[in-house]
Amino acid sequence: MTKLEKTYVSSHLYEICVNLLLVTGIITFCLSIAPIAFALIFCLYALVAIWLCIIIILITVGLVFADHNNVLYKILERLWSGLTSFNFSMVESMQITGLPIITAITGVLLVIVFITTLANKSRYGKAKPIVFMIITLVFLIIAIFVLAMLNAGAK
Amino acid sequence: MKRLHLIVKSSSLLDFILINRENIRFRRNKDSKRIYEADIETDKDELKLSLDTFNPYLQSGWWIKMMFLFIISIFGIFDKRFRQRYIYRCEFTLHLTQDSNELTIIPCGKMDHVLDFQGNVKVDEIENRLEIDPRVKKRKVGMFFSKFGFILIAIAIVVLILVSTIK
Repeated sequence: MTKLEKTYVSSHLYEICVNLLLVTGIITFCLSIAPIAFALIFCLYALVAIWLCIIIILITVGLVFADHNNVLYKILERLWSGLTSFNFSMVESMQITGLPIITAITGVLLVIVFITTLANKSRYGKAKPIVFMIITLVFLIIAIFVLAMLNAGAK
Repeated sequence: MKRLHLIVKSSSLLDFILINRENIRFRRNKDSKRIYEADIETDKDELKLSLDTFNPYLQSGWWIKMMFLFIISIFGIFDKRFRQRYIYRCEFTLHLTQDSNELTIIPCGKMDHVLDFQGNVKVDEIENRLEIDPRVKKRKVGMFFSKFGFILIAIAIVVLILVSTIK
């Protein structure tokens, strides 16, 4: 009896256990880092806010010092009116609906990266990275729908 | 005592290589991750190198083993795939002419020429081909329908449970 005959079932069981543990671990990890992801996204919003403030200051300075008949003045004027009439309530609603979805996407992307790494690890025969990808995409779609429904329910 | 330094340039072959009908323990090369090495010491001038003819479809209790792994791995999602459609028919005699010998095994992947060799060892080819077993072909089809049937049954059970819980 050769090694392959002896270890056929045990090697497959080992691989299944490793894969299951890894995927469970990644999902738990993604769920546990959800608050961090929220914090990161808030930081991103803060950065965008700072960037908007800088632009508004620059435009104001430009409006004060530019010649009113100048093309630059007209462009700045349009930008200013565009920014001041910007609907910030839209951003607020985006924060509520968008955050869990973004967190879910981040988590699923992590899963994809880990699973493709895992798929390349197999010694003999090849694992199925494409199948894993499709499954994770399906999970992603389900996660988005579930989160969106939960969010709508919470509102 | 003669020494044979065996180098393999494919990880997929490692479990199949047999020297005098016994498996060898390979170690990964320090410089290249895709190259594997093994050192064999022997008193004989000749060694038999062959590839394992193992195929999961030809082992005893193949259906039960495969279905068990399929169910345990949640429809085969978490299992590794065994792509061995063919059976190796490869046998060679290695003549160790020097005290320290080196042989590199290079897979060719052709039906009528599976392995190629490089090194200072004289290799006599007895067989070097891939074979398609009609039993494997037949059993593969049978396994496909078994798995498909099992998936259908599982879906039917899930739907029934969902319908009964909604009611």
